[in-house]
Amino acid sequence: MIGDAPTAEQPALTPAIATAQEGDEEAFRHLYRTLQPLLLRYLQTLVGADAEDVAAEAWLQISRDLHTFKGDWDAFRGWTVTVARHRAMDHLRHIRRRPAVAVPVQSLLDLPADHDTAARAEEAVSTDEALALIGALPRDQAEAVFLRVLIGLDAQTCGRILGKRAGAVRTAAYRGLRQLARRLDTPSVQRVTPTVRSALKEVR
Amino acid sequence: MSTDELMQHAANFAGPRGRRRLVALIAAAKVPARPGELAGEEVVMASFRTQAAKPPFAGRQSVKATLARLLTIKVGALCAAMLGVGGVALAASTGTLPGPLADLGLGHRPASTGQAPAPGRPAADPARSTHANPAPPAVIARCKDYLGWDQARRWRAIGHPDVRDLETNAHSQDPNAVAHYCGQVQASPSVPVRPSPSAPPRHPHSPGTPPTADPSPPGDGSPTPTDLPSQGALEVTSPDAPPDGGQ
Repeated sequence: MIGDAPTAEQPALTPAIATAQEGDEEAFRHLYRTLQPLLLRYLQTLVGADAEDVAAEAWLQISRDLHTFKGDWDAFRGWTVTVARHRAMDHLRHIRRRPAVAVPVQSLLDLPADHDTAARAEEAVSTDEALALIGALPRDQAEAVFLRVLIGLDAQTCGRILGKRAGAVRTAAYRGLRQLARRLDTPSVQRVTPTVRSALKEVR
Repeated sequence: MSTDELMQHAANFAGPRGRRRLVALIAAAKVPARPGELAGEEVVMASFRTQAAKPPFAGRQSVKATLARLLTIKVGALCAAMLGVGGVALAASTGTLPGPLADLGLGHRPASTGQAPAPGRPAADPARSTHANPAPPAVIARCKDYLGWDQARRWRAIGHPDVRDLETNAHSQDPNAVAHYCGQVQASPSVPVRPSPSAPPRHPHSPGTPPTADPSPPGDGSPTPTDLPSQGALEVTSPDAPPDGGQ
């Protein structure tokens, strides 16, 4: 997956960016398929069930402005995350202006309410559970964990995206991971459910 | 601190179970696309295809067209001002306005037609007649069509690619202005086409052809880095434009 450095499993896609900029459809599809899953999961922590719509908006903008991009794979990931986060912030501002609209937390709340969890192997953590646990962190920590650890952007890039100093991003990512490790030390991760609501409340 | 080091430091605050689960959690959160996560792919790809089919920086042309339109409004205002002066000059030339204007030489300006200029743009045309190109047959034909439409259809057609060049030449999207322009074209095909100097065409296409109607064949008109103008225009229109990412 996307990590700090290109690996055999996930090589840097810098050449695909240039090819896509020349109009190659398959190159762009490759970029989309590589980045979209984590982008969507990141957006879920920001806007909940509206993440798909926001991701679509972000990709439309990315496809429109692709020819203006200059840089390598790392810069491209940073740019796509920036675009996605801007669209998410626009979306949240729009939601706040709209009176009496239900907060779309239901789908997220449904995810960890899977009571088969206890029956699973102790170490097993499903993707939904993992995302719910990360999403339950305070927002600055959740974003730092996503951008720094999952998407693998460097601290400086994360800082630019989040409007913070690189040191603050490192601290937030560290605190987030530490809190996750502590929480995971308990016998079951089912306790995540009540905290999701509060985290989403904080985001909005 | 690398991501791995970050993980190790953080995991030291938990027992062995917490450490193992943290690693499993991060791995689970990073799994490749699951069903449904690529649901929007075809919409995104359709957008990409649309963008890729455009000439480089075509996306900016709507902004440029808006700017050009604003400028042509100014040119229009200038024309109106010139019309006013022209009227005064005509009055001076016919001897009805004695005084300083006559002394300035305006009174000696020969009246080209010997009759008052028709209201509207033609009064200003002598000044720019050297720039006038005869309207291409396509414009004349579209004008003929346009004049055959009823008013409702003209309003519906505002901004439509088929009439965009007529609107550009008429300096207005107002159907009445476009009809007026077309009336002039029909009466005299040498009515200036695209006289505004503020909108030089980015791509070589025949006068009067809308910029978006540049049907480059796939693989032929694809953008290349050498086609790209300076980055200057980007930051204006795209707050998220790289490399600073708008932050």
